[in-house]
Amino acid sequence: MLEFQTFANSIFLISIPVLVTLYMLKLKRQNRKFPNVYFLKQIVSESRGSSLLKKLSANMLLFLEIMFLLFLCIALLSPFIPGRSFHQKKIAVIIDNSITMSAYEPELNASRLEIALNEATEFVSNNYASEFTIVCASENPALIGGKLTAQEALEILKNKIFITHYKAELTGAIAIAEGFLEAGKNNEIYLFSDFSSKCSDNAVTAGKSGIIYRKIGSAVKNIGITALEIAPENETGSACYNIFFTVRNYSPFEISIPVTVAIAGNVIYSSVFTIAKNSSESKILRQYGNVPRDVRVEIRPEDYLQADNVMQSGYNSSKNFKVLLVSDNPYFYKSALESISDVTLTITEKNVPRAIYRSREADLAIIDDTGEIEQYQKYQASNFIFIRPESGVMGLKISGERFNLSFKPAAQPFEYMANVDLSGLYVSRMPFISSAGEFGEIVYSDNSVALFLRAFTAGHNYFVFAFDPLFSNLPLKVAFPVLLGNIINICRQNNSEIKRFEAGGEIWLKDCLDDSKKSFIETGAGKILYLKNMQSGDIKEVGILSGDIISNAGTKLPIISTGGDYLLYFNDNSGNTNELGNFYVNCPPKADLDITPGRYFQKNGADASKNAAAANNKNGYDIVARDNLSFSPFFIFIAVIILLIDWIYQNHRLLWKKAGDKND
Amino acid sequence: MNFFEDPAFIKKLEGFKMVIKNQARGLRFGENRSKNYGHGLEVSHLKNYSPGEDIKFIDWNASFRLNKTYLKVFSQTKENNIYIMIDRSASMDFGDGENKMETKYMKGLMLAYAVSYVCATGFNRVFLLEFSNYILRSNEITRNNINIKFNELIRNNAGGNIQASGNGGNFDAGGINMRRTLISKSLHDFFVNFKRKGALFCISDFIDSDLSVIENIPKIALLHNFYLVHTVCSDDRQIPALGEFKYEDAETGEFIEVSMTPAIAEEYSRKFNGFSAQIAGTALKHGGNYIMLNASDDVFVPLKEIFMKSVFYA
Repeated sequence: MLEFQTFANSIFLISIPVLVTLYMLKLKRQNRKFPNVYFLKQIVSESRGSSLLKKLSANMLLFLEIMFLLFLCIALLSPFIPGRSFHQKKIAVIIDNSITMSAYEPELNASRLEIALNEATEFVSNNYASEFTIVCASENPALIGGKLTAQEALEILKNKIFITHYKAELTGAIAIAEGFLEAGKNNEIYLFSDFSSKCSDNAVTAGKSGIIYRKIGSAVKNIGITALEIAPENETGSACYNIFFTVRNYSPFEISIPVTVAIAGNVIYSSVFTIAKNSSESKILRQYGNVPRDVRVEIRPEDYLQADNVMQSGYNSSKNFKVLLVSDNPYFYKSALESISDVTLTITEKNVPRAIYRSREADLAIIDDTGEIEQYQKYQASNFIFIRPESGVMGLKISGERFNLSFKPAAQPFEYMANVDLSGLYVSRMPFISSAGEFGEIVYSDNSVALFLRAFTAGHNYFVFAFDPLFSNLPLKVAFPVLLGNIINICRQNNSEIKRFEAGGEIWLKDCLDDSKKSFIETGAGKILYLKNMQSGDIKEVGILSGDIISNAGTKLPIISTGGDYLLYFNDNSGNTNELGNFYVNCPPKADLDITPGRYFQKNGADASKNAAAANNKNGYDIVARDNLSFSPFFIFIAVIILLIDWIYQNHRLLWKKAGDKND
Repeated sequence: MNFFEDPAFIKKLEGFKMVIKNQARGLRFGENRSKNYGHGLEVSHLKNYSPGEDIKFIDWNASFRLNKTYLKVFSQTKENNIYIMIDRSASMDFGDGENKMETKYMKGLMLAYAVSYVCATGFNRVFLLEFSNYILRSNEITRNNINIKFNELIRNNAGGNIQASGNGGNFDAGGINMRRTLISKSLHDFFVNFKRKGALFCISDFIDSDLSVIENIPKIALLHNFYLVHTVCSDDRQIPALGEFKYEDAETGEFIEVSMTPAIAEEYSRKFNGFSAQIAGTALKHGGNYIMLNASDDVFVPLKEIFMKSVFYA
């Protein structure tokens, strides 16, 4: 079947209507008086049939020019019959008969080896004039036949190649093939493999012969993690969560495979799964504490297995939370804060002036120092917890101490505290606090004891505890960490909410940028915008920074298939990194196991390693159709013939005209 | 100098004589024999004498020779009506020769003059009618006024206009295009205004909007002996050049765009020749005559054919 190699050139077909239009517009007809146009009218009306050909034949010149352009355009489209060649070449066909070639391809309803053999058979049939050498590429590569005719090669492909239980040794197979072929222009090596072995990255020739890689199989991988979910739980008042994951084996063999689960880079679970063919195995792990921000399940496939080997989940995506503790008795708070995950604690030391800490950046400043509370505006923190403030701070009124208080519960308890059970909370000293200023929310415990006041202004949270932690009998090991954990969650949600996206989905650049950083775009205009995966450290260029990227028709990020924290930044002239925003990419709920490789990808010599690597890469294929029976010369020949006819026609007209003039 | 002022031209005409047998339909005495018998100059035949008849018509010679009394019977001689219709449409201005000066009209006019000259000499009544859309004007031609009348015609038609007055010279007072041929209408006018039988010379290129000359030939044949003189020029017969053209009809001003290819040019010539053959065939079928007069031809060639063939028979 005729195919077109450079179909993009079909744009040149536009030249035909352009030609017709120009022809019609620029056609200058000579005016000529005539005795009577009766007969001419008759002839024209007779020639104006419905047939397009009839109309065109009346405009012979136009017709010829259209035909010329049409054939030229077809020639530019490079029509060819794929894979068919009349050349006499020496061709080595390497068939990968390793174990992975036994994988079943549901789309084609055949195993990979069957597909490879079918493709190889078709290829040999299309190159009937060539001489063939056939090599098998299992662990012990073997020459099946050398210097074969096409007929003999077809016989071998039909009868002598079977699947083995070995992994592929492509390098060795290629070496055998190349050694068997004499060096020459017409030597080619065709490698039919699924490239699922790691060693296939080295499937290159010594440079004497061109090698053409043909990827077999595309539908599924042999093994993959198909589910990873993290579900928060509450076990007798303690925060915990379940990690659920599934590993599926698509191959027709039973496999044993190592599986590890890591939280924030620390391996918490490691095991070997033995999974029957075409089945799956799941596991639930329970962990205590707050839900972590990074859970990673990884399988370690054998060499010969192709796998989606990592799945990552970012349930709680906030970056490390910096807490500055300003207190003379920090250990009380420290024990509580240390039990909260992802918190970096900075504690003031007694002998160090407090002013030094004011310039430290922090997400939360816990200030248990009356004097420093008055200086809170000098602190570079986003959120504040004030312990025992004096009256007057942000309109706060505190009058004496009250005991046995009974507060009316709020109609709508604060959202993040709704599920917190602080029933064991006992407050020995409770100042009477009321807010005449900016404190708008009072948060109550389940038994109607006021816990704290909250104000949220100008992007900052301000919390004032309604009790004195030091004089309460708070069950420190449970209740106080939960309380602080919730406050930190409030800060994270309101103050530094991380944007989340799905892996594999469309992500618009304008949605990823921090609103507060958008002004940076102008200062960094013209700089290269980078996207960095904070876990792996991979950096990609996104584009050039300009105002357009945040417009409605702005830029899309490249498809992100790996979950985790990502950072958008640019480097200014002095080399400093300017962050424009960070966001989190959730892994898709189940692994996408489909890959879509190109049919052919080919390069000679040293470049081949890249292409072999590309075989295992979803994105990077060079698609090159090689050695096809091209019809371009044929169409160019027809176009030239038409041009000749056109020339003769015009000359014929001139001769005719001259003869007519003589008659006159 | 007009062609009729050329002595050589007139001298050539002297050699021609129009012979029209038994067709004299005029009222006045003439020199053409009519079908009627009576007081004439020429003895038609003899008949037996019956008592009471005028004895002065007895043919004594014959009576003595045959021993029986015979009377001479004379045939009446009368004048003939000769009608010459000449097409004055715009298409007649096309011609051949150097700078296309030999137009179809001029050639037709020369022929009309020759016929008028010969016929007027023979005591015939000659009417010269100019037509296009209808009969534009009619003149009776005699030996005395022939040069004056033709001079007027040539003067009036100078510059391609029919009349000096009117809307640009091509339209009459009623807005009718006088440069367009309408043969059926013109013949209708002729039949209405000229009811006496006679000989009709129709000089035209005969192409109008529906080629009506073909269907009018039988009507002409009913009343008149007729001679169709088909004036043509090279433009009529053959398309002069190939290429992209916008042809303007000289009579109607209508435009038609044609990419003139050899095939179309050939088809045109074929159609034109077919049309000429059709007129000739129809004319001969109805007892008339047809001759093609090329604008580049010598006018005496067709004249010989007209006059020397002893044309009109009843």
